[in-house]
Amino acid sequence: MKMRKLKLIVILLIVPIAIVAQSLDCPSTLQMRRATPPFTFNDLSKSAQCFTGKKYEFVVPLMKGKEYRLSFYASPIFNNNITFRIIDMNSGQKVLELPGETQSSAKGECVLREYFDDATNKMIHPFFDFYPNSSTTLKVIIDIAAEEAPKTGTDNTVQTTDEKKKGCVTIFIQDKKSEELGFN
Amino acid sequence: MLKINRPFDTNFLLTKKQINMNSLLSMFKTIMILAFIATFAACNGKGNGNDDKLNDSLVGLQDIQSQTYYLIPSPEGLFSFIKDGKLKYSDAVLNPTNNIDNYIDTRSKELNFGIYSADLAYVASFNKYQQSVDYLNTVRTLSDEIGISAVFDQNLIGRIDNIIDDQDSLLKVTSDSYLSIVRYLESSDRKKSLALIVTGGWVESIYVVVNLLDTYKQDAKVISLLASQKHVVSNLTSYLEQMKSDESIQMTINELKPLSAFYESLEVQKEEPKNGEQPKDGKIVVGGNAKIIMTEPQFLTLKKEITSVRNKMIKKS
Repeated sequence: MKMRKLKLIVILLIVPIAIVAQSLDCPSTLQMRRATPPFTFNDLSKSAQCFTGKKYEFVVPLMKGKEYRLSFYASPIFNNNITFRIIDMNSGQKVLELPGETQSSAKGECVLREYFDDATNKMIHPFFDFYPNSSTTLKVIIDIAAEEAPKTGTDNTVQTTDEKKKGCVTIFIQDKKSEELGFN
Repeated sequence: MLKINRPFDTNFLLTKKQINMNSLLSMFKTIMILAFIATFAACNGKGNGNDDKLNDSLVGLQDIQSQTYYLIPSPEGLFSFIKDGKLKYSDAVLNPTNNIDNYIDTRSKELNFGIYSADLAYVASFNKYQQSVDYLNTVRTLSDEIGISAVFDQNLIGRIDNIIDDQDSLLKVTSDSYLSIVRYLESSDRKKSLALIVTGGWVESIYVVVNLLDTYKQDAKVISLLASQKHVVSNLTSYLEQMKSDESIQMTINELKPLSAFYESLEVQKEEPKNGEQPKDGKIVVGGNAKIIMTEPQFLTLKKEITSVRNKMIKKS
């Protein structure tokens, strides 16, 4: 009887751990993000489970009368090997195309790596401010590089592997009322 | 007597040890099998045997190279605009809480969970304390029936119970509850439930705003807000289309068709685009100068269509 109880307890403990260990709870990672006043948290923010070698699109409606601040975060497993493209769907124009990080990772050069801001004397996570002249939709295209295969020969060609690694990619959106113009 | 029994006792003890060993071995095997099953279940995204999760993971397998997420604003996000528009408060636009008994099937419960969530956001934005508590209780009751009551943990319930007549905390709690529900459904991969809740929430928000307007004014902020929902409807339709193999989602898409057609018919007046060319203080200017036009007859059509869709959703299932 005691053994049965022990069995049951062990099963109840181990099975949920095994399940949790395999899945990522990306949506909950949004709770870690805090808006910077005067901006407030916009509930269009999204954190999704993503895989290496895959492309993701986030279609974000923006309303006239508000200003938006977008920043991006990715799990370390991706090594910032991600490119970000933003297209304004009203015009079809590309308004931003940047890598996750660059060698210098200076301000405005990349999306994921922090830079040192001389004005505030602090490390700043990159952010991008959008001002909608009229209501529009942004398409955020996130391309995660495929996993590189370990080098076997002497040539410098980069080979990719079919192995997929997963992590979270977050689009953190903040907004505030537009200062420059009213709704119309 | 004791001497006679000793060998038997010893054998008995040995047998008991063997039994214990066998039990441990069997327990180990059981754990390994369960852990193996759990690992596979987690990898395939079919963990709880829920149909919702099963179908979603199949959809995911078909679309292995790219995935699109359509983002829909919450009711609270929409009502933050109407507070500035100085719209009046009216109980008449709400879905009465006693309608809750009308919803029998899961689709009705999930759609009306969204509808009641929007009503809650509306009453909270007007600082109506008692109505907020009533709608919060209705939302909590429905959450239990659609299997998401875990969202209302002790922390959230404590915050709800401690709300004093304070608009900010009332709004904050209702907004946090909605976000917790969205995160919970996303985390547990219940995409169809989330889609129905989001749809109900959006439909009710637009219904409330449209029915609070007494008169049409072409340049009113609220008319611009309603016209700009063209972008949201397009997102909502595409979002639902991703799950159209599900009967309840298909039914919802069909119900929304007149609204989608209405929004598609709205004219967009375009000027020369200036995107990305003239950043103001580092801001990226987007949207061109495309204005979505909604005339008075079109506003009246919207009122008719949204009322029809919303009334279908709140009727007895």
